Amino acid sequence: MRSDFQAVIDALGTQVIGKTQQLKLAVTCLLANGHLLIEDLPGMGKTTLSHALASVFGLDFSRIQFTSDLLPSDMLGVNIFDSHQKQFQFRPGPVFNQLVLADEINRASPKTQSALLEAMEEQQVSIDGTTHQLPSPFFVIGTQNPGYQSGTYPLPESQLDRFLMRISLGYPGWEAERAMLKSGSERVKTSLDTHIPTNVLLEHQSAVNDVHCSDSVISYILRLVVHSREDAGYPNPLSPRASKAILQAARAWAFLHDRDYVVPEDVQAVFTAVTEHRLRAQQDSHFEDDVLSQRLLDSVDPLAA
Amino acid sequence: MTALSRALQRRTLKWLEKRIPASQRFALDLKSVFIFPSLFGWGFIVVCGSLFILGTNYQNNLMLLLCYFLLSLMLITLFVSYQNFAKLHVRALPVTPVYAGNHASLTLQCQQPGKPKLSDGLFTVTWWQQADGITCELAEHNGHLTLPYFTTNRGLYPLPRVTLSNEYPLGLFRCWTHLDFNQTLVVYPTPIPCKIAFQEEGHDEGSNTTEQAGHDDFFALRSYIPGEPVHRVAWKHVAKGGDWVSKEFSQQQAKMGYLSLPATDDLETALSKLAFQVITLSEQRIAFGLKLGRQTIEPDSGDNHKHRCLTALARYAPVGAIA
Amino acid sequence: MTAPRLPIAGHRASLILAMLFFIVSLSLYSPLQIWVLILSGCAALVRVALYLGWYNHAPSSRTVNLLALLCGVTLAWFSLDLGLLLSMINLLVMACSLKLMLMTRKKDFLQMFASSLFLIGCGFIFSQSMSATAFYLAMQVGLLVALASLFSPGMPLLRQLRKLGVMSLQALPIAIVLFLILPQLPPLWKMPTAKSATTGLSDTVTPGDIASLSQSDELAFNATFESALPAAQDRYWRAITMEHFDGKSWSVSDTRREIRAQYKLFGQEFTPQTTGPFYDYQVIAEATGKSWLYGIDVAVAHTQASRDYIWQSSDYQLIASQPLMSKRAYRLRSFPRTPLNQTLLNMDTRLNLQLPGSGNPATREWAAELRKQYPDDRAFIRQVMNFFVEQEFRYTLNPDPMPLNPVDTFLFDRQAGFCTHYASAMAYVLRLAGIPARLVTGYHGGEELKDNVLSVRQYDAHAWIEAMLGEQGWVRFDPTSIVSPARVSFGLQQALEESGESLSESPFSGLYSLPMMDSLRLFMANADYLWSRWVLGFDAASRENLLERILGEITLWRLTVFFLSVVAGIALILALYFLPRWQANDTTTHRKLVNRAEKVLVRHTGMARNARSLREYEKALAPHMPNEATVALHQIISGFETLEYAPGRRAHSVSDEMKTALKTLRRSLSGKDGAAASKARRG
Repeated sequence: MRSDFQAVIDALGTQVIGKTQQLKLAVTCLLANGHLLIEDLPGMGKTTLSHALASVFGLDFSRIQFTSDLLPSDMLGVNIFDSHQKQFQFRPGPVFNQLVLADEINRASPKTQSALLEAMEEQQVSIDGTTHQLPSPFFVIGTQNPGYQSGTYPLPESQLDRFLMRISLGYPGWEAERAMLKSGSERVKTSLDTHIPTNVLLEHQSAVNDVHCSDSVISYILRLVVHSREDAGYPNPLSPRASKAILQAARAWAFLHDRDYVVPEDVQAVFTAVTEHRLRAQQDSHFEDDVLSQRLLDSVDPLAA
Repeated sequence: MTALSRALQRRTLKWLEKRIPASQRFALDLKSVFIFPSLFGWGFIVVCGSLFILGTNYQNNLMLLLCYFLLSLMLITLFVSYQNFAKLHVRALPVTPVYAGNHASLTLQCQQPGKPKLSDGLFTVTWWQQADGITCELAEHNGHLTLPYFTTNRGLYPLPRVTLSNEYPLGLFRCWTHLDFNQTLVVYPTPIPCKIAFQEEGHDEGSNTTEQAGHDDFFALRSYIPGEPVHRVAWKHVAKGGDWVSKEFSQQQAKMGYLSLPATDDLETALSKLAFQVITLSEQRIAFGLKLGRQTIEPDSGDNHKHRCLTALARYAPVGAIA
Repeated sequence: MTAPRLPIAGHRASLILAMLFFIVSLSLYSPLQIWVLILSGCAALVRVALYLGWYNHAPSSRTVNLLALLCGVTLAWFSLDLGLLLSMINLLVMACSLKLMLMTRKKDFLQMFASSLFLIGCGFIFSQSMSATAFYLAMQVGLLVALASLFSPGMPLLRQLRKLGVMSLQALPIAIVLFLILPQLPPLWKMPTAKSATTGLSDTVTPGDIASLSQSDELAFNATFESALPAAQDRYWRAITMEHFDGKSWSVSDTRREIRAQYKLFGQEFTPQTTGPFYDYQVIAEATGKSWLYGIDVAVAHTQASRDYIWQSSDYQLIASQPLMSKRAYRLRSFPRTPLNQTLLNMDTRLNLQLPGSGNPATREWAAELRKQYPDDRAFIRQVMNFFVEQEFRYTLNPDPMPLNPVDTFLFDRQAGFCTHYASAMAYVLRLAGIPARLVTGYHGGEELKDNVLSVRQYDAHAWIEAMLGEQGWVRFDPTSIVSPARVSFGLQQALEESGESLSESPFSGLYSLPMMDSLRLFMANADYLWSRWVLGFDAASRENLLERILGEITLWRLTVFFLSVVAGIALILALYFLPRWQANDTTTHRKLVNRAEKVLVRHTGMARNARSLREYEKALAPHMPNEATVALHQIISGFETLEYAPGRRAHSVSDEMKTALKTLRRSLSGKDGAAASKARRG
């Protein structure tokens, strides 16, 4: 693992204790220039993680609490008539930040959800015919409560696909929670030091694209994806967007581990986070083990020619 | 006689069960492929035999050579035939449920991933022991074969084995296999249009028809349908000289209610009517539940819910009927 | 099974089949009646019309049934003339033509295909030349294409052809092996034969006939000798013995025919007692439509197959069991020193003193006169021969016609002619003198095609006489040789040059005088000979020779082993064709090394990798392996990762390291301490 990123993970670990794997995935997601979906019950440290990430990379941060009455304009921004200059002025919404925490995304109405997802996909916002570029890097962490709760609009499959990864933090381990409780009072709520400045992060993001991926790894990814399409046990087969996502995430993972090429283990490491939410049928979108992606991994031999 | 043949068939099926167990997908191999000279193949052998006799009687070497050549060719086609057939990788795409009276279709995909070459020759696909089927070349449909299955009554039907056969290259040998794709076809009751009888939660008596859309939150404009409440019309839009459009509101929280089986109609009609209601309510995105005998499906909406309800209707059997 | 209907318009397979059927029928023009040919042409036309969409449906079956009735009656009418074989072939073509018009179902198509195949087989009855074989081969391939088109209609024609070509080439070696080793059975029963135009010698000789024959350079037969060729002057190929003379023509005597019939009736055959030196040879005779065969006296059938095929008559003539409808090979053994005195001499004497009642008065007178001077048979014969020399007879191929008293005219008036004239005149004179004599026709000489191959053509046809000289039996005399010694020693061409003549329709002049054409002709003749000898003439004896050459002495055990190995060989050929190729190129060295390492690990630890990645596998194995092995495995896996996934090429040194590590892994796992350690750890 690269030392600079090791430091980042360590720093994040002081805030979210005992979840190294999830932290690494979150950083990978950021490196791969994708968006992250965190699915968790309330109080698991989703917000803490987002804050910590923002400060470690020195990113502008905003948090949007999604509610049923949140309108797209509340999030994206509005044109306001400036009576002095006699013209409309655009006032950017909270989405114009480098790291956006879209909290409880499934509480907003579908139309607000799609507005956000469109912004995520295009990295730009169109309001009244004018296009406004979003900042770069642009990283959205969506959080979602699991399961069908009344008054929620679970993200449809097509929109879940826009998130590169989905992770869930889950309950902390015994030791971790104990440590947290013990240090609870003295935990400083202030932000962490910036470990990797934004411009370096951008360089790293472009370096991820140069990570070599050999034919045999590509064929491994293809075999995984095709298997999901051919086996009736997968209600939502993986799309080409998903296979691109797997490759990109695997590259970032390899980069994180200071390697300039991808090995099947990289694919396996990110596979569950990248594919589980795409594979699941919607009605089962409550916490379950990561059965589908794991089964898929178990049924495809990474070495087969 | 029929009893005997039926028993024979049962035995054959049992044997097939062991030899070619049901699966979603098959890579054909020695165990699952049967190959035998076709009727024409036997005829061919007879022609070779006559050529041999003719050649022997006229002591004509060329005729004998011709005869041996044809026999060797037959031997070669045995292998070519098998090879062509056994390179087939078949998988069934999931069958989509249908309403009774329509025909369902089982689509087989015969393309092997990563190997663009398809098997050659005409393939005949039939249901087990059925004479009629479809015959076509794989390349014609990109490796897809679609076999229709006619339904008359609602219910759950495990699809029978599919017989796939091929006589490539010269029709001397017939290669075939009987595949069980382990698919169950759900046949929904045919919907019969009727009034929606929707019991809201809590009000056990007196069903009331719910409004079809919510009214909490403005959602979109759509063209006006005559008969709609006038207060929904977007007057501003009309005043500007546009067409009549009405405002649509999304419902923040649907009303929950249950559909249930009325005791009045005969069972099949009642189920058909319920099917209609399930479809209509789903189209209108109204959350509803379903009470069928002992089974209760909690209110919900969406496609999956619709299918769950319709499947319940399809497989419903009154308590008495089970015994 | 239901019989699916075929598409009509644009159905490629039907059209190809129809066209090929028509072409094959055309190739059978000689045995077929013209109206049958026309019928098949009509059927082909119907198919073309259907293919192009001029008509949308085949003719109604009522129309065709009516046509069938008509054709059937016509064929029945002609069948008496045609004989069984030709009637059958005509019937087959006729029925196929009618079926072709009605062909609407797959079943019909397949029947048509089988019939056409059979028709091609029948084609070989009438012609077995190289060109005919090539032609029928092409037809055969075409038929297969039509058939393949039926079963994979969407495949482009060219790809179809290529696939069939590959399959045919694969089948060919197997067919040839089968042909070479499967025993050829004797004819199971006698097949009907065709009455067809005959070529070559005729069974009556009226002096003047052979002249036309001499001008043809068609091949009569090839003879392949197993030892040196006999001397040029000894190459008298007997074909027909003629013992009846009516004053003008010689023919086979009716009495002789009766004798033959009687022999056959009692299942007997004349078997001459042979003595002295002999030589073996194989004759490949061209089709004549007649049943006489050629041999140098005294010839007997050599192999069992030939013995079955040849019946020997008591006049030393060889008769085939069936007329030669196509090329035919047989083997003979000739005993040139054996005297021809083993037949019933009394009977022969009586038969060969037969004379026509009247005619040729001058000859009668002259013969009686001469006989008075020379009572001794030999002296008389010598004197007759002298007469030809003294009177300066000329050898010519264009003698004047001699319609009345031909012998008189020839002997005392024209004094010019060719072999038949001399032979006929001399035999007549001898009979007049009371010496039994008969005419023998056949061939003399032959061109040396190769060292041991004689190629005998129609212009080598010859006639000579045999006279009975007491106990010596039949002795050959050739008056032509007295008149024109060159004819006998050097052949016809030489003889004609000496007499200042050339062959009137001169096969030797013109094109053949060009050296290139001549060598081409020789090449064609050679190719044809080889074809005849090795393909058409391949018989039981050749097979036996072949086996002997392969096996040495033929014993049952060796034969069994041989046949089993042939079966194994065929299986091997098939395996070569069809077993999945070992894709050696697909697997890289480092992949192979990892596979090998995996096998070693599974054997020693019992843990399979399944779908795990190598690193995970390594992790799972580590607690169960000695340290050394773990290190080695790690080395292998790292090497594999570098070579398989990393960019750039560092193949050799890394794979060498992997090899070393694999060795270490093996040693450490199979070593006793390793096994013990692993056991201990597992426990």
